[in-house]
Amino acid sequence: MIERIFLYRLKTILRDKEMVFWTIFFPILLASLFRIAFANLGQTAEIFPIPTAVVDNEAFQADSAFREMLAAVSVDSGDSEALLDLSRVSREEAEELLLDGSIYGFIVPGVELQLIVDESGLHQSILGLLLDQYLQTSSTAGTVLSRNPAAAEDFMRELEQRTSYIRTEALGKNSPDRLFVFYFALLAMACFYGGYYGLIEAIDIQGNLSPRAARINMSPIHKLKALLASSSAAVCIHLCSQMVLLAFMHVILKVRFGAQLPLVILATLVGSTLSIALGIFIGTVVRGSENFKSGIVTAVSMIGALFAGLMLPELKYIVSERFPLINRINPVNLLADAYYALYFFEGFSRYSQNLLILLLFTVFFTAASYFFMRRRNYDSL
Amino acid sequence: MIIRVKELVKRYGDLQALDNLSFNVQKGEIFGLLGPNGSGKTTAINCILSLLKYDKGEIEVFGKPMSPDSYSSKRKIGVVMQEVAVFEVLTVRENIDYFCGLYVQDAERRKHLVQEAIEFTGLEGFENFVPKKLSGGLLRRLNIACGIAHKPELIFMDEPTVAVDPQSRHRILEGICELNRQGATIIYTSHYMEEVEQICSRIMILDHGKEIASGSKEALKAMIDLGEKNSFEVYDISDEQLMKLRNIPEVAEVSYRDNMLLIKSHKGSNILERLLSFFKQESLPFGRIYSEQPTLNDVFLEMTGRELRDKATGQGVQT
Repeated sequence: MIERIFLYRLKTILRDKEMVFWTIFFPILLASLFRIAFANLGQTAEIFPIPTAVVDNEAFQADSAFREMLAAVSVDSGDSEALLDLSRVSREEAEELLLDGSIYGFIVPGVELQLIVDESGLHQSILGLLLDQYLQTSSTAGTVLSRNPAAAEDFMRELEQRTSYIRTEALGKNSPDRLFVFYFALLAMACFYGGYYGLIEAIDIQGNLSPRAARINMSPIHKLKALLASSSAAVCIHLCSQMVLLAFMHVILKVRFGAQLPLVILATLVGSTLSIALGIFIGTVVRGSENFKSGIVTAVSMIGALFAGLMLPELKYIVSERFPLINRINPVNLLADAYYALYFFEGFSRYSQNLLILLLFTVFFTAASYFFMRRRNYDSL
Repeated sequence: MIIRVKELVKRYGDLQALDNLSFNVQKGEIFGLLGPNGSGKTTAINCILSLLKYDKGEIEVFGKPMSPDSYSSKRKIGVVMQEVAVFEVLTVRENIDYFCGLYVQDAERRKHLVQEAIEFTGLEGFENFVPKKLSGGLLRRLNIACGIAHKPELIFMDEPTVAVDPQSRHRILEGICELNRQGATIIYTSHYMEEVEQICSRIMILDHGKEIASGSKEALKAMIDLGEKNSFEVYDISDEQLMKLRNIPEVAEVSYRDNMLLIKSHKGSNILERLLSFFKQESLPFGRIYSEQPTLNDVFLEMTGRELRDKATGQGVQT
């Protein structure tokens, strides 16, 4: 009996064209639109090399140490990429390049080393730090040599053998990509469209919500068993639809999910289950018309996705900084963040933490729905 | 006894939907619950089926107290609800198979039962149609097929002919009688008195959740004072002539409207001959003549002062 309910539920879901469109084709369509609209967005996350110019004047030609330093930071070395994309130009050319936005700033060598920028920002700060460090080092060397010329040899040797005691370690295994924030938020939003399936499950099993459910309630089947069977069908279909979306993103849109595909699928399975549990919870607990409940499912997925970085990736970081709790309880963000964690971070702690919270939500919504649904007859129909 | 309902009380807030309702249904009966919309018919059925909580009273079905967990009793019950309760995206055959499958697990037997239900309700040729492609009448028949395919011993039919064309209605009513002949006990609710008169062996009239009267249709009609009703098509009649008619002792009521003269007589009197003599004596020309026996509507009217097909349909709680 249970397997028949499962199979018939599969049929009813697959034949519901509207639902198939919104849960399968709409996210694919949206992902394609993102691809077209934000194709070059990923490039903005690249910090290095910083387009910079240096004025090729007499002082520049006279200061060989400075020239060598700039040359060193303008080429890729074995373990680090180039800091600067350096152009040697005249003062006028440099000013033009700055005005048209081709460079973040230009350096004017002289008695006083000058850095000319037209706005403040991350790139400009890095240029400033680079020059400060150069000035401090050259000043220290000058002081040592003037006070104790005999120490010059030791000092130079020490400079050459300078050991860095700070080990730099990449935060992520991949470079950050804002476009991927969109895609992961979209994937998570599509996952939470599963709430619509859950809503139908709730409506079709509670005798006071639909005539069909009343008929099922009058039959000799335990309604929670029937719910379990039909919800399992919904999870299967929804998981498959998410896999289609995932495959489309990976194969067609070249979205990278990291090397742990089984973990991506696991996160999707947890997300699908939670979204359906959430839909059942809304269908069971919230009072109001089906349209009203459907509106709540839409709001949860859309607003959740918005805070998770869909439309505006910065919003995800703003919310994380100013209202961290919202992102910790926003299930769409948790799922999107789980995908991002798999893509970006080396370890699995952040991924596991997100999944654990999602599972806790699933347990909560399932238990609450059961509590409200377990009543077996109704005050009114 | 298949059903025993004792002093059933159901309230919706301040509104008493069922007011100490008691009745029994015997095996093999077609028991009709007749009453205007909002009289408590559907509420009574939903309480019996344990879909609705009730405030007071006792309900037994197949000799056992009825509860939501009475699966052994539920297995023998079929329900045809007022609203069509089917899956829009499943075909006729799939819908019947789905609901039959909630009762019958054996696939071969179910296949046979589904086919029988299709034939019984005259849905041959429509097996692969989805509900939205069916006419209102066929949709109602599908609703019935879904409720009876598992061959229940007890069938609840709640207004199964609402918004149905005459052909489908005739077929549905014939089908109900056939189910009864095959051994099913049927509880039939309607506000269509003609249907109830036509098929029910025993009738309970409800109003405001209370029993007004119950018995066979003959017994119910015997409870009122009204006899036959004679209508004459008359184009001109004076007030004096109307007064003379009212003074005839067997006449209970005279009304004249839209060229139709309606004369109701007291129970037990056959006055058609007397009236014809009156028309001859008064040289009163008339056209068509209709003579009819009292209906259940007359019973309801005399007992409640209101028409069964109340103009105030839909007021209060829809039950």
